[in-house]
Amino acid sequence: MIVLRPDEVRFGDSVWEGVVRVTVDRLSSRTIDDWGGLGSHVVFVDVVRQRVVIRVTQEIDGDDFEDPILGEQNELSFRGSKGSDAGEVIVEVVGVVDSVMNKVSDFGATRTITLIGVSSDGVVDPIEVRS
Amino acid sequence: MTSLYKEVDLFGSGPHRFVVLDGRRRIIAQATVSGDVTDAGTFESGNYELRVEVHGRLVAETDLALWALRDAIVAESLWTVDSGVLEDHHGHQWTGMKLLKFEAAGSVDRGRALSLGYVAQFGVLLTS
Repeated sequence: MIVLRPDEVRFGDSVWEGVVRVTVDRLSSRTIDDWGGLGSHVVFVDVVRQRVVIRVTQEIDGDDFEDPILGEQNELSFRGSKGSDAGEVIVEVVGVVDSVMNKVSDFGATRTITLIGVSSDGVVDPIEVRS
Repeated sequence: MTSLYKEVDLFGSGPHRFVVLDGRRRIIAQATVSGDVTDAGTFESGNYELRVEVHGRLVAETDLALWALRDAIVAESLWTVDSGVLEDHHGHQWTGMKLLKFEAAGSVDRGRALSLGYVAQFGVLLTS
């Protein structure tokens, strides 16, 4: 999932300003692949551990002292659109801050906050998309 | 072609492979028998019995179905159960085989399907 210039990005009670993009990556933490007794090719593959990684990138205009705290868990929400006629989409996810990385160049500064999505019970997808 | 034990497809829910363990003569240290650690030398004492392992993964859609697959295999490990013919995917048969142990390789893996890795060891026993 990629949302460019989402509206109203919130993390708990905080509003994160200047967000230029939010990306949601889905990664396998453990993939099982197994072979049978008949040939050389894999006959069974399953992802049995997975991780949802959310990256929020902000443009930083000036001095900023409001870094999120690593390990903080809260609800992240942001608004996007599926197109001009499709209307607004709200994305919500409970996430834990995993890293905060800053980049500064002659053209400006950005900060990328990486969060790991947390499921309520291990079955439910951490990412909830509402229209 | 599927594998069979006593003409039943016990392992066919998921991938599995057959491993024939080394068959070799049994060598025993003389000191082990005599209890005297200064007693040198070893002697032959027959052969090890044949052991065949099935390494694989049970696959099911539900916990209930996975338990049923597991239980069907474990039921063959009871000492009161007779031996039978074990047959691999290619039609090779071992006669007089008993299931000696079934070991799960950790916990149930929960992804698109439920699955459980295992090693099942069969062997020929003089008493079977």
